[in-house]
Amino acid sequence: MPQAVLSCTSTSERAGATRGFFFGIGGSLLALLALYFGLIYLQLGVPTRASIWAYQINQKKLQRAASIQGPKLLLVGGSATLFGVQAEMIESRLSYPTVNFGTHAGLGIAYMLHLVRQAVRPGDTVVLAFEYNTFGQGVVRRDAVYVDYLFARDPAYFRALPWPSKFQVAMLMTVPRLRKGVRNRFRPESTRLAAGVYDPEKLNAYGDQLGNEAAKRTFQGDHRYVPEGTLTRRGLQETPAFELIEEFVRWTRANNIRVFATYPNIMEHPAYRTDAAQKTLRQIEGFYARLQVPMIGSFEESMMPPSMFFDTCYHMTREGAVVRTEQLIPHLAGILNREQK
Amino acid sequence: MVFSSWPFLLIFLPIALIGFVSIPARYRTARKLWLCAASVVFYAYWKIEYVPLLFFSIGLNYTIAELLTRSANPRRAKTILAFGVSANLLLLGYFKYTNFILEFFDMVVRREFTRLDILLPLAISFFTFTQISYLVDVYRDRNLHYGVLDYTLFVVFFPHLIAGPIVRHWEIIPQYAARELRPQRTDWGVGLALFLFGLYKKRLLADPVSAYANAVYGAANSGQLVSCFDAWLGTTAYALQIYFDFSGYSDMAIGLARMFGIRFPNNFDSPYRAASIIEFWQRWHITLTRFLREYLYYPLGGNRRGPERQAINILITMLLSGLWHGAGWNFILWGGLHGTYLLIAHEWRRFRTERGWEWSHWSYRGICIGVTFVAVLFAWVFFRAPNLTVAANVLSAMVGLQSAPELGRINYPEALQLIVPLLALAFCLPNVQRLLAQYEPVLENISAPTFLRLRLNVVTGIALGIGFFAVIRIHFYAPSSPFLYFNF
Repeated sequence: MPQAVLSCTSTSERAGATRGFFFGIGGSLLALLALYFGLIYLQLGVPTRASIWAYQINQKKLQRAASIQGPKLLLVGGSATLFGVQAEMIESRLSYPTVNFGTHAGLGIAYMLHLVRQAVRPGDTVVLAFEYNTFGQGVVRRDAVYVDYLFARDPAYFRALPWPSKFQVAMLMTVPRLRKGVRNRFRPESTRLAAGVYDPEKLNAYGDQLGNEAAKRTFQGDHRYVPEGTLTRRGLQETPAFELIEEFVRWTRANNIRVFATYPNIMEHPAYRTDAAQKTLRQIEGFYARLQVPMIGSFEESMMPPSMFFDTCYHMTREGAVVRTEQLIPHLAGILNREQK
Repeated sequence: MVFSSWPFLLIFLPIALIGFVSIPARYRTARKLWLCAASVVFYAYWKIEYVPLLFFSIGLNYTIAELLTRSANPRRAKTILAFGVSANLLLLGYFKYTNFILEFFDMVVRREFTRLDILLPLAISFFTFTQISYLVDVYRDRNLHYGVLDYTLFVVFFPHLIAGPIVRHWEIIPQYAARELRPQRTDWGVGLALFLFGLYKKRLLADPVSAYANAVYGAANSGQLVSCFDAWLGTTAYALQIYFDFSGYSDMAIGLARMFGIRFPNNFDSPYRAASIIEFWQRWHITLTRFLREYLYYPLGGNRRGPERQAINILITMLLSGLWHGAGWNFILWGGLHGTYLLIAHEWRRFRTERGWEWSHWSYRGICIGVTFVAVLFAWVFFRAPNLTVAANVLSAMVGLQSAPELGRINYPEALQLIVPLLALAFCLPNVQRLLAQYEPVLENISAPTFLRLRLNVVTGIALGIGFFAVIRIHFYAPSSPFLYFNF
C-alpha cells in the first residue's frame, strides 16, 4: 500500500503566499466595487434613449387616468393588455371611463403595481391580467428595459427600493449601458424615439396600442412556437410576485378600490391543455380565490388562434384585440353593473 | 449548498473556517469534531432526511471493517468482505437502480410495474465507493485500524463528500494525525487560489457555454430535427461545459480541503489534450478511473489473462462505469462506447509495438489528440442526451444523415466567440495544478516549467479579485446551476 502523504506545510518554507496576495484579492475587489458603484451613482437619473418609449407610454396612461374625475376602470397588465384589449371599445359600449393600463411586462409586477397605485382613486375598478411569466419573477427584473428605466426615468423608485434590491438592480446594469449613462451625464444623447412595435405616438387617448393591424403583421408563428415556460412547468414556486399582488389587494381594499383578475390573452398551444399547464392555472386561480379576488372569463377563451397575433405569443393584432375585447365586455358589464350598448 | 452559491461562500465557508481556526491547534480532536459537524450541516442543508442514511452507511462500514480486522480466518474475512461490499451495492442499487430495473423488466415481460417513489440521496455514489475501497483495503491489510472519528471525518469531509474526488483512507486519514490540521498562510493562499480558479471555471466558463448545449439538446428533446452544424456546436459546447464544470468543481474541492490543511489527490489533468483514449482516462476524473482500475479491473484479472480476457474486463469495467454515472441506457451505451474505444486503442498500441513503430512527431500527436477529442465528443452525445431518441437525432445530424435548418434561437457569432476561446483554454493553456505546482497543490508531484509558475503575490491577488468581481456580476444575470456531477 502506498505510503502516507507528504507533509502539507512543507511547502510553506519553500514558497509562501505573501500577504500581498490576500490584500490583492480583497483590495482589488473593494476597489472595483467602489468604482462600479461610483459610476452607477454618477449616472443615476441621467436620461437615455433605451427606455424612453416605455416611459412615454406610462406617462400617457397616468395622464389619462388623472384626467378622469369619477370612477374608472383600469385594465392592468403587460403588453398582452396593451396590445390585446381595446379600452376605447369598452368605454363606448359600457359608457364607463376606461384606461388601457397595459405596459411593458418586463417592468415587472412590482413596478406595474407601483404605477397603478399612482393612477387609481377610491371607487375605481382594477382588472389584473398579468402575463404568466411575470408570476415567476421576484421584485427585481432581469430585463434591460427595466434596469434602464429605473436609472434613467425613475431614480426616485430606485432610491426607495430596499438595499438588497438596489444592489441587485445596480449589478444588473450592463457595461455598455453603464458607459452610455456616464457619457450621457456629460454629453446627452438625442431623446428621439426609435421606431418599434411599442410606440407611444400610436397610443390612442384610452391607452390602446395602435399600429398593430393584421396587414402589418410580422409574426408567422403557429402552434410550433415554444410555449410559455412558466405556464407549462407544472405549478409555480411561491415567488415575491404573489406577495406583491397580495399586498396590493390589501391596499386597494383599504382605499375602497375593487380588484378583479382575468387571464391574459395568449396564443393557443396544445401544451396549455396538458395537466402541467392546468396545474399552474389552478394554482393561479386558487391564489386569487384565497385573496377573494374574482376572476372573470375563462382560460379557454383567452387562448386565441395564431392568426390573431402580431409579433409574439402575447401581442395581438388590432383585429384580434377587437375579438378579445368583445369576449371581455359581457364580463366587465357584469362587474360594473352596466348595460351593453 | 453548491460551492458556488452565496450561502456557501458568505455563510457556511467563513463560519466553518473561522470556527476551525478558533479552536487551538493542540485540540486536534475538537478540530476534527468541528469539521465533522460542519460537514453534516453541509450535507443536511440539501436534504436532512438523508443524514441518517449517511450515518447508517458509515456505521455499517466501520463495523464491518472492525470485524475484518478481528478476523484471523481468511475464509471468514472473505465472507465478511463479500457481505460488506454487497450491502453497499444493495444500498446504492436500491436508491439508484430500482426504477431502472423495473423499467427493464417492463421491457422484457411487456407489462408495467409500478415505479417506486425513490429520491436519489445526494452523494450516495461517492460515499459508497469511498467506503467500498476502504473495506477492500482493510481486507488486504488486516492491521489497518482508525478511530471512529477519523473514519467518519474521512467519509463526510465536505469538500469531497458530494462529488469527489474519490479519496482513499491512506491519503487522507494520516493527514489528520500529523501537523496537517494546522493550516498555514500558504495553505490558505493555495486553497483560496484553487477555489477561486474553480469558481471562475464554473461560473464564468461552464455556465455560460451550457446555454448552447441546452438550446440544441432542448430542441432535439422537443422532437425538432437538428442540423449538422447545431449538433456539433451543441455537443462541443457540452464537452466544454462538463469539462469546466467538473474540473472547476474538483479545483474547488481541492482548494477547500487545502484551506483546512488537507491535500487531496489530483482529479483532472487537461484530459482533452490526451493523445489516446487510454490517456484520456488517465487524465479525466482520475480518482474514479483509479477506483475502477484497482477495485474492479484488477480483481477481474486486468491484462494478466491474455488479450481476450483483458478486452472483456475493459468492457465490463466501462459498462459499469457508465451505469455508475446514471441509471439509463444512454449511460450504459456511453460506457460501452468508451470501452470499445479503449479496446481499439489497446489493439492499436499492440499493433504499433509489434511493428516497432514509435512515432513521436508532434504532427502525429496532434492528429491523435484530434481523433481522441472527436471520439470523446461522440460519446458525450449519449451522456448529455436525456434518452436514446435524442442521442440518435444528434448523432445522425453529426454524421450528416439528416438535413434540418439551423435553430433560430442561437446567436452563432456569440456562440463561437465563447466556444473557440474555451477550446483554446482546454487545449493550450496549462491547468491550475501546473500553474501552482511549486505549492504542491495536490498529493501527486506535478511538474511545470518555471516560466509557467504562478506566484501567490499581489499581482495574482489582484487578478483573482477582478475575477471575483466578475463572478458577483454574473451571479445577477444568471443564477448558479448545480454541478453536473452532483447528479451522479
